Amino acid sequence: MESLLEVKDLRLYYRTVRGTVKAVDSVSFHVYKGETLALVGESGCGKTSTATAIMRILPRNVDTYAGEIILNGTNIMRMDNERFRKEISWKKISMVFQGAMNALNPVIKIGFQVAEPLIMHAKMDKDKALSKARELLESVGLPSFIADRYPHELSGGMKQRVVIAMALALNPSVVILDEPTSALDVITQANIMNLLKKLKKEESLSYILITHDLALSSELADRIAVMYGGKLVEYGTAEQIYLNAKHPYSQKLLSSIPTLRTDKKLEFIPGSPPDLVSPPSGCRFHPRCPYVMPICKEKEPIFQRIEEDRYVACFLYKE
Amino acid sequence: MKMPKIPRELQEIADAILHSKAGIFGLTILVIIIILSTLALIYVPFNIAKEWNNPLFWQRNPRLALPSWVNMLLGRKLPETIIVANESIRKYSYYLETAGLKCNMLEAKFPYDYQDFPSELRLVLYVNAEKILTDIKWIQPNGIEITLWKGFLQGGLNSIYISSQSDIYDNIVNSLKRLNLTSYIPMRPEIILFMDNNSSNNNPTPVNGIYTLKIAATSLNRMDDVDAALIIYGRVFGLAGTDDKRRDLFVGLVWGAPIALSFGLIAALATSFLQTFIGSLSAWYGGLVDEVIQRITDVYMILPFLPILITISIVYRIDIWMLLLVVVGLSIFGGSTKTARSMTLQIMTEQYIEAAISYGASRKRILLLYILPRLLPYTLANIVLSVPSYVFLEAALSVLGLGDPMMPTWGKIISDAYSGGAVEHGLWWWILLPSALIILTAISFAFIGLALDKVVNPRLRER
Amino acid sequence: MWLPLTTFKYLGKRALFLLVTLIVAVYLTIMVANAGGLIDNILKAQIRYDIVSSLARSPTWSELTEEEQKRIIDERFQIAIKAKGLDKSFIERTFIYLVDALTLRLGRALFIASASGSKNVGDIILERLPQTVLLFTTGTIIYSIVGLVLGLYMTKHPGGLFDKAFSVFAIVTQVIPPWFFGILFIMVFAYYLGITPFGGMVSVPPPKDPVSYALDVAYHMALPLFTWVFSLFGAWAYIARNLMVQISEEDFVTAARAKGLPENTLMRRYVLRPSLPPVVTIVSLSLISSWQGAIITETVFNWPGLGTLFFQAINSLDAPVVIGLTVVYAYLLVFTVLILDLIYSILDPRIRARG
Repeated sequence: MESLLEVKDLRLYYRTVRGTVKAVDSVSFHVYKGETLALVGESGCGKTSTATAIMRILPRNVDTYAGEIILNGTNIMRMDNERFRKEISWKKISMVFQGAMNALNPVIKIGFQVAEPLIMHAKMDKDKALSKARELLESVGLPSFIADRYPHELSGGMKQRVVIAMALALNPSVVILDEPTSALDVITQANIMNLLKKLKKEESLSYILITHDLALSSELADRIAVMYGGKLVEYGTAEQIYLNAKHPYSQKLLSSIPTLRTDKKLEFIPGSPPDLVSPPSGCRFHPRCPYVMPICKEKEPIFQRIEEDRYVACFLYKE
Repeated sequence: MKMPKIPRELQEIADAILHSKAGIFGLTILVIIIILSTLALIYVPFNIAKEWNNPLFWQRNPRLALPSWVNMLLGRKLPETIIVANESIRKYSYYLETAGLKCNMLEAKFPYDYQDFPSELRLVLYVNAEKILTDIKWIQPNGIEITLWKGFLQGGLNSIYISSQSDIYDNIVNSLKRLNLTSYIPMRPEIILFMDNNSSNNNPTPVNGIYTLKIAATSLNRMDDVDAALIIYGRVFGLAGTDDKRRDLFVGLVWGAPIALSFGLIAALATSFLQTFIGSLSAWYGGLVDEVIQRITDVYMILPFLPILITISIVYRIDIWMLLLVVVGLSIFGGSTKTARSMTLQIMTEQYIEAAISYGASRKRILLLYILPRLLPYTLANIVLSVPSYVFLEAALSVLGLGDPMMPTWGKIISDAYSGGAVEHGLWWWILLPSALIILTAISFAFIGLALDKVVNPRLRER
Repeated sequence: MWLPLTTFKYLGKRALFLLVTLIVAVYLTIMVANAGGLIDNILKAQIRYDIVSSLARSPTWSELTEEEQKRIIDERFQIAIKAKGLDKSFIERTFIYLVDALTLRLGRALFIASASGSKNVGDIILERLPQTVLLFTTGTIIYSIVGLVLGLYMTKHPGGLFDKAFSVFAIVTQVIPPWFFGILFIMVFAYYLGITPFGGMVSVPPPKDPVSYALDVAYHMALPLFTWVFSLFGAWAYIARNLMVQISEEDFVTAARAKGLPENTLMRRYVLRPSLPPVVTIVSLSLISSWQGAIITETVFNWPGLGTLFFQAINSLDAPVVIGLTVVYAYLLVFTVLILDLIYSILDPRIRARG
């Protein structure tokens, strides 16, 4: 399997009045060509920050931004901002934002917004870019006259499709999808997921799907990385995780998914997510872990390889 | 009937002001102004301020004098007003039986030690006779004697304007011609009379020393008497100088404060409360009431406020308090109505309102007890922020000539200064001192308002 | 840029509303003015003047005796009064005057005359109108642009020293009206520094050739223009900055950044452009009040526009001119709001849908 994107020891900290927030604390994973990696976790665990860190959209009060991001052999972390903007942003990696409701400029027509990357990066002239934009809109299932409309004239589902079309404009290698359906109703959700699946097959796209919804990720994910408190706690193929989750947190997540037909005792995870400014000592999950051991309170477990392409950060497992 | 909400709102506001740099700054200035005003009000009692429009009261002040403290800055000593009267004047009189003539001789001596000339000279003679024949002579310390005037004066109060009367000027010129001191004839009387003839015309300096004024008054009755007062108007006066009507500007400035502030405060209070209340009412009762009030507000906001105010002032002669009423009347609906309405709409969605309705509280009660207190911080911020604009409105009307002619407000002083040519002639104290006070007041309110703004508009808070 | 039908519907509604406002404003003015019978007098004077001047043109007029002349005038006067409806009740009269005022038939001035000698209030006002528009429209356009540019700059560098210092400047200039700065600036620049004239629009005597004349006007316009811009750009820049900072935190700006747009384009298209509609709304109110502040500012600078006319009319107690000016100002304000609404509808596509 060809590794398209490798993230190694990615760290993103930023300063607030209360202290330094360690939003992304040494995260590492691979994204393989043609595959979808689902990055799952609760709200505030750092998944969106990971995405924006890869895209190099940094908050103003950034403190630390370090690690390696290797895309097709090149470490793009080392690039200066201008080069990153010209070569990587949207061209190689693009992003579909959370809450597409607000991801579109309200005073500019849809067509132009979709065509914008083409004009900016691919240096196409305006007319050509606009007609390509219409094609893109059609490829996501929207009629081409949408290009002449403004965002407020579209429904949530339509806007989400527009944002997807926009993300595909320059044929990127990786598309990061940040909660692409969380603001939509279930039916629209299903439609969008179908669209994503179709595009993945047709264009052999690699997705990084960020979501808190484990059930949803099962539609697309080839591999899953579970995040907690700014750190990765488990990584493996979808089957491995869904059928045999190792980390107690992953197990809890899975058991909290309601199933449609069978009767399942729904469990929830007691406690609340950790404070990223002063996280708990040792393993960040230990206050809420049903299997907590003394060592968990003292030392942080290493994100270690327990099988081929299978990682867990938990003292319950030894290599 | 509990009212727990109100003190908390005020507490919030007090906190906001005291915890921000802007708020403390503004509050400090305001407190200083208030303390100074109070002290000054004690120092300048109302019976003096009452005489603002009475020209006679200010007779003994110089015209357009600079403030005294200028002397400290300049290094030179500009003269203050010297009044030579009563004990400073030596009197002797005698009656010639044989001729039936009464002679009153007055000799006024005074020292003059300034390096600058006075602004004006005036001699007041109180003639206690039917008619007198006077001979007035002016003697410089170096002995040069100049005849000022010879002639008849009626009984009563006689003012001889040495500086401006042309007959006096002619007399002075003649005296100088006789003494062969014609080089400095083109000067003004108050300069000539004090000038050192050794100094040049371009840069005259006064002779320092003891000056003498001799007045000889001859009349027919034994009981006739004459008293005099020589007023040598200085160039500086008091803490704030004087205006063209010789009024002590300090009095005007001090008394301008409470008038300006009360006008501003009352207008701001009334309009703010009215607008907020109506806006809230509009949202709370909804429906037709809401629609009507909103339309009226929209219309109100486009009315030409100032022109209508001017029209009213022209058609009906109104005083400052009537003006206040009109201003408030024209501001019953405004921008705050809309904001208060949207704030109320938001509050209405909160659950404790629903709870209150469900346990049977009347709509009126809920509005008064639960909703309006929540709007209090906004209303107060509004009041604070709009006080300066009303203070300036009053000043603006004075500049246009519509203000209350009786009251010495800061606006009136500034407009008097402007129309009195203070700008063209560089009479800076007349314009700048009231301006400084008005600006300081406005700034203090603005800063307090800024501190409050952070409470009212949390969206504007910076990270 | 082709505007959809909904825009015209929206503008049509607004125009209707503004018309109603105009009528209310003018009616209010009339009510206030005529409560003292003022407008009755103005109109009667106008009628009498018209009668006399038309009779005086007839060649046989001078041959009549004074008594006969007076009789004829009075007769015609009575007829005219009835025809005009001036013998009717107070309320009915106010409506007659309303129609007159709205069509700008404003009567004759008592004392003031236009430069061409006409005492028709409409002529007098029309003569002064261009100067006011020249000065204040130019000033408003300049300070809007300066304010926006500065606001944008501060959005790019928030929290800096400039930002904080500027907010102080903005507050101070917001509370102090332009005319006040005017007085101070005249003192500083005209008296102490001597680099600008004390006021007026042209020197006396005015230069003959057009180029010198234009330069002379520009020379006289410099200080009032500077004062106007100085006094108003700060608050505007601050409002713009606050709005733009808010907008720059919106999701679509982050999305645009991810798209790899260069910072300048981003600022222009994703921050400035969407901020324009709310900026226009916020500013429309202050624009209205600044038109009124212009009255005093003109007076201070002795600029021969509507403001100074107001001042002259007040001083000579020329009520017809004052009333006429109030009507014209109502028109001016309504017109301003209409233009702003037009601009707003072009800038914000969302408003067109609401219609």
